[in-house]
Amino acid sequence: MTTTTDDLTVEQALHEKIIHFPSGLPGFPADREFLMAQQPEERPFAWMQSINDPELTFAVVDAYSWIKDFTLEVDDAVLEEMGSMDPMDYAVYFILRIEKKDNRTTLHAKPNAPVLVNVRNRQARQVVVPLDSTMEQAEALCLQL
Amino acid sequence: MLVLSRKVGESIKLADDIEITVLAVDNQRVRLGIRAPRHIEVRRSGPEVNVSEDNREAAVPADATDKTTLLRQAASAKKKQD
Repeated sequence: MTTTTDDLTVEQALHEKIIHFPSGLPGFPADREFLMAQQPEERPFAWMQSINDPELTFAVVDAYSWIKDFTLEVDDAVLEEMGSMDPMDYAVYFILRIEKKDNRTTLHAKPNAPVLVNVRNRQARQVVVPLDSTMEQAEALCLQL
Repeated sequence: MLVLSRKVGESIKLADDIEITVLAVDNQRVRLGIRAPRHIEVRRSGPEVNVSEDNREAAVPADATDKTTLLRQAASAKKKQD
């Protein structure tokens, strides 16, 4: 697709960063579209902002950057529904909980509930994966700022 | 709660279109096969997983003032940690 005006280019670029949760994000069933916003210097972190409710934002991180040897087992049926059986088509993120205490900020990931994004069709889904022992260790993994 | 016994290979039906089959039993682990229409969402559940609650806790407050700098700090802290 080609675009002619700067406005359209911007709009298209924006559109390409929007991911779709067909059945909503758990806990937020009305929020099905999110913008992935990331400045280059924020990598591997990003903001996931609801299109429906601009005040609803989550901090996320690329799963494979957060946990070096992260592996994921997802049912084939889920991948099929999301439009690709090829693992290379998927980006994986953890939603981070931001804890502020005594002037210290700590980020906690939840490796048991990663967000899968099919980067080809922008379909997204938060899946629950069984917690094995490495995951349990990883859940304790947090980052202090 | 309704409690049923099924052997491996046997199944139960919920309404007309959901069927749950016991595929294998191995010590503490039971493998189930679930046949259901596409719109029926099947989730694992257990006391350790409450994704909705976790997500609500993770939502960033609308009045967070450090949103412009937080992830930058996170990225450099992560780099140091690695």
